[in-house]
Amino acid sequence: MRISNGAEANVYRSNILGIDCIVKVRQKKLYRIQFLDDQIREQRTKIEARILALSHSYGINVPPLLLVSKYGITMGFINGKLLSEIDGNTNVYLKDAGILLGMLHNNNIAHGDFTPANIMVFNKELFIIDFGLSEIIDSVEQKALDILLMKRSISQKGFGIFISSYKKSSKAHKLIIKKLNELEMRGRYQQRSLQNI
Amino acid sequence: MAVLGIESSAHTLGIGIIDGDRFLSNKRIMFPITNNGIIPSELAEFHSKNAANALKSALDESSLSMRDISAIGYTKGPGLGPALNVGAISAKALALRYKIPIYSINHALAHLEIVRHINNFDDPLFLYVSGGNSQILGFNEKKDKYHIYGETFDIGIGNMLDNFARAAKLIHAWGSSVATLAENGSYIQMPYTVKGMDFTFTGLLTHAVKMLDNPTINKSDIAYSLQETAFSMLCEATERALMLTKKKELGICGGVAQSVRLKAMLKCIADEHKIKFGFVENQFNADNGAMIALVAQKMLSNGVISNINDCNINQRFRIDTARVYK
Repeated sequence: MRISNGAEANVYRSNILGIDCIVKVRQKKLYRIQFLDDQIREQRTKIEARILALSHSYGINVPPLLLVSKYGITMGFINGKLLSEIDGNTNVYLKDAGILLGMLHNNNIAHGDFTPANIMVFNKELFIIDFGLSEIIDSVEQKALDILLMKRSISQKGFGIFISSYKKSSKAHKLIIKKLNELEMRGRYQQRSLQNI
Repeated sequence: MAVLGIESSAHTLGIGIIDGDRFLSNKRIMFPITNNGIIPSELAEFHSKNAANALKSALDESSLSMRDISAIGYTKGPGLGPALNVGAISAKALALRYKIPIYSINHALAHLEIVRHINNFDDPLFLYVSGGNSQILGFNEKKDKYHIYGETFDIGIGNMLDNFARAAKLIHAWGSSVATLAENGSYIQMPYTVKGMDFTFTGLLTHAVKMLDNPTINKSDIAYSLQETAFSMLCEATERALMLTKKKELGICGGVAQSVRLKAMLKCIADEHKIKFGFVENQFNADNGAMIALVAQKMLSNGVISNINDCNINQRFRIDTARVYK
């Protein structure tokens, strides 16, 4: 059963040997030339699977990796709610989100699309999902971009909570936040919060 | 109720005249660019020398005189200061001489609005691609302004292609000459960077320019790969924004909207999502006066009060601060 059509991939619900799972398949994009398209889909699938496995081993909550094929990943289904869809006070979750992002960054994982739409709440615990644009990279700028994306997606107060817990868990937070300020100073990066729409 | 528009933000001096839905004239005079680029003061001199003639030929083509013009619009920014000043001063002089309302217009907004107008779109998502800009935008009803969903983190796609063209010593150092060189090329791997709905081009440009030094690599393969990679990045970000906003119309505007390949790729996305795709003919994609006249006309018909004392220039006039009049 298809549960979502993303820009990046389609996601299906499935069940293997009694285990609820979801299958994420990177669909062919007709606008791209085939060579580039195959390459992007294959590489991203590989990297995503690797990052899921690594994050799990670092003790970060992510959907458990079950199977990997050329363009598809099968992972455990988490029956939670997206942080972006939770009404009411999300401060406690934003605090945890800061800790988790710090842990990812300490292990040189940049998420690439770190917004409340990619954080799932299950049993009051956070799971980071959709590592489709993630990279294993020791880059201060990529890490700063993760924070910038989050900043644009939440309120100013929420961001204050998020960043103070991030500072506690991220080892290189001084450098990364310095970079964040630099990025925002570049003319093009003025505040662009999705909250204002 | 003819309205005159003056565009002078960059290398093109544009004078356009619109009357209701009819584009009466759209004159464009382009500064001859050498491989040294543009020196702003020389550009301003060029524009001021040509302004009177361009105005006269636009009026002649429309069979109108200045007395038939009921309002005037000019580009306030973003753009090169000295060039913008020529447009602003000419517009102010005309407004005072003929006692007509004068409106200052955001250049990027005009690019979007002309595509929305000509395609009869209500609420489209836009990919705005030009020399200095590469942005994905949609209308924000709460603010009556366009919201930028994604944009380039460094340089505009047009600048990227022009820079490559210069490095490759193409005679006409333009994006279109890169497209010509790219014909019959085959793909070589290039760095591909999309961050959500944003993207960067400098890494890709540096990579491609370095490849030019390698005599064993075919130049046309490099041009082809550069173009395919950059356009695919734009398309991926656009598709993501489309799925986020769930808009039913997709428009492309700006100078790089002249690219046949980029339009074909976006059309492909629009077809897949079963939404409308719209663009305009090239004279309205390139910088032009008609688009400025169109926005000025909308302001006039919305009863916006003109104040000549506020008619200055702003080299860094962001589109998301410009009020939209539908």
